[in-house]
Order: sequence, then C-alpha cells, then structure tokens
Amino acid sequence: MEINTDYDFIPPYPVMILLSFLAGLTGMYLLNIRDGIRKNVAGYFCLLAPAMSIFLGIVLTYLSSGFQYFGLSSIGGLAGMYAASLTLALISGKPGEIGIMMKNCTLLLPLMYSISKIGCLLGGCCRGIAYHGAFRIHYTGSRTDSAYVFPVQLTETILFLLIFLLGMFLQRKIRNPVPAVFILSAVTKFLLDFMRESHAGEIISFTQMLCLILILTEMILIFFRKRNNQV
Amino acid sequence: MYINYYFIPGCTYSPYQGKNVIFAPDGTDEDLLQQYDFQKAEDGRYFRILTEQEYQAVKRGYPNNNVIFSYENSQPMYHNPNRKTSKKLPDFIPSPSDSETENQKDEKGILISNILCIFSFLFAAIGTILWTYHDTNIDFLVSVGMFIIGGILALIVKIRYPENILGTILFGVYTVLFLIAMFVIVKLVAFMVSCCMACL
Repeated sequence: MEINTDYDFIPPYPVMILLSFLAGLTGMYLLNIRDGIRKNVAGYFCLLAPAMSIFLGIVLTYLSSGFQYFGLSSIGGLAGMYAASLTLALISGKPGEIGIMMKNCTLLLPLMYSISKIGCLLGGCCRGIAYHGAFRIHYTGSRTDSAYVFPVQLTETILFLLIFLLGMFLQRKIRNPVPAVFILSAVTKFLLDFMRESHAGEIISFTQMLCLILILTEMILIFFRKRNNQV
Repeated sequence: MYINYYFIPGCTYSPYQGKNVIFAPDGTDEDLLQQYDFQKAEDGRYFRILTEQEYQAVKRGYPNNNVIFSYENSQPMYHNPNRKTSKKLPDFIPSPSDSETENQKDEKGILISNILCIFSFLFAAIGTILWTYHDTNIDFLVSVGMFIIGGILALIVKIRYPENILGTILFGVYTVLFLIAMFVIVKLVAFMVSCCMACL
C-alpha cells in the first residue's frame, strides 16, 4: 500500500482525532444514559473529556520528551478520559456513578484509539519498523522519507476495533467486562510497540513501561475486588 | 405490601446488585425521583439505595406491613391494611421544622455556589493572562490547566446548584470559548500536525 503524506486541503491526522472523539463520546453518552446517568451529566462529560484528554496527552509527551516538545500521547489521552469520568461522577455525587462512567469509558476507548490510528497511518507518524514483507506500507511525500514499513498503525486499528467489539459483546454476557478489555488493550499496545520505528535501540519504551504499570494496577484492583466479594 | 417513601408511594423492596434498594412504581414523575436520589436501572425501573437506618426500618415491617416514611414522624410507621387501626396515617405534608432546615440549606448553597463562581472566574482570568503573555511552554500548559480548573468549578456549580444564574452564565461562556478554540483551524491544525510527528 502506498501512502503519500502530502495533502491539499486538510491534513487527515486532526480530522481522524476529531472523528475518534466524536465516535467515542457519542458512544459513551448513549451508554451512560442507558445505565442511568442523568442526561445533563452525560452531556457535560462530552465537553470536559476532550479538554482533559488532549491536555494530559500533551503534558505526558512534554514530560517524557524531557520538556523538549509537545505531542499527543495516547496514554495521556486515556488518563484524561478517566480523569474526566471521575471528576464528573464525583461532582454529580450519586452512588454507583463512578463505576458506570469508568466502565463505559473503558469500553469505548479502544474504538477511539482504533480510529485515531488511521490518522497516524495517513499522516505517517508512529510508523512501523523497516519491512518489505506482505502488507507493507510505502510512505512517500515531502513530509516523510520514502520508506517501506510494517503496517503497525493499521494492525492497531484492526486489533483495537476487535477489542471494542469484544467489549460490547462481553458487557451483554458478564457483569464486569472492564478488566478483560483493559488488560487486553494494554497487552496489545505493549506488544505492538515492539514493531514501531521509534522503539529501535530500546529494550522497553516509555509507553511500554506505562502499559506495564496499567496492567499491574488493574491486576491489583482485580485482586482486591475478588477479596471484597469473598468477604 | 408497599413502602411509601415520603412523596413516592407504592415502592417495593428488593436486593439489587448486592445492595438493599426500593423500586419506585412505573409512571412516577422523574423529577420527583431524582430529588429523592432514585437512579435508573438497566431495565428502566428507578431504584433508591437504602441507608442502613432505612433498611433496618423496612426490615422490621416489610413485607407483612406497609412501611410509611413521612416528615411528620421521625420513625417510619407500619400499617397492615388487613387489620383495623385507630392510628391516623400521615399525609404527605412537610413539617415546618423541615422547611426551616431547607431554607438554611438554600442560603448555604447560594453562598457556596457564588464562591465557586468567583474562583472559577479567577482561574479563567489567570489562565487568560498566562496565555496572552506566555514566554515558555510551561506557562502555556499552566494556562490551559487553569482554564480546565475554572471549567470544572463552573461544572460543579452547574450540576450541584443549577439555580445559580452566575454559574450558568460562566458555564455558557466557557462552553462557547471551548468550541471556538476547537475550531481555530489554522493554529490547531498546524499544532496537531507537529504533534503527529511526536505522538507516542
């Protein structure tokens, strides 16, 4: 597949970021309403979440780059979405709303990540290692060097879309699909990061370290949840 | 048998999601339900999680008796409609002492909501000044953080004290500014393109 990163009118990256927010926030709004969150609270979440998500995405990249440059970190964005869920649920003050909003956030985040990675694919960033096998991407254009790379962004798009669909299926079958979706997403991101060009020369990247922390945190929460249920 | 929960008669008790709750009858006014902290379940019914005190009170009488919570009595009453009783069942009228407590709560709420509005405006103002005169990237990040904190304070007023007009105005202004910021295409697009090259 050949992708020319030059564009005539609007660059695809911000368009896909906005689309990912649109899809994710619409889904979260509908799920929150269905689960009993008040309409006004669900609506205010759609305003607060993009602001906090983009802000924390920028902050995390700024910190990880050693205060050198700004960027949009997906894990920072995830932290922003969760922070917005927590903030709204705490402001609303109704018991049980924290769990509902965090659950719906977790279910929709894979969809948002999947769509945003299409922007990275078309923009030529977060690209894969040099690769000449099947399904390789050939980047051309004035914004990137001409290169044949592994289609890691496309792989992420497909896998995270599947994780999202799995989450939607699981929530009809089991009471709490959050741990499965969360850990699967973190493990997938961790493994695919090895296929990224930016991973060259590193044993484990900053993003992978964050993924490990997230996996560990969720496993500790699972442990305490099970212990509380047994008590 | 039923549980008459203050202004919501005809509720039924049932454990739900591991908690002791009462379900309101279908067709009850939703605004009234929200005032009494009823939440919507997945099947569309409205339920309220009972406090420990309320649960103990329900357990003592239900399901053999109707349980009646009212403002006229500090303890709920139990009434078995199959037995004659000389007790006068309460009407759903709030007592004068409850009105006084409500007035005090209103005054406190007005004060708190106005203080939150002032702080919200201050944070937004500091954010604006830093944004206008920022020299370093840290200033830029701090200014955006200030806007977000100001917005959250306005959200607290909008959700907890919806009758506060100042809070509504502030929230409206922030919303418009936020939407404008999202549509500032030239700077945002250029910024995001440079972000794309640095995204993780």
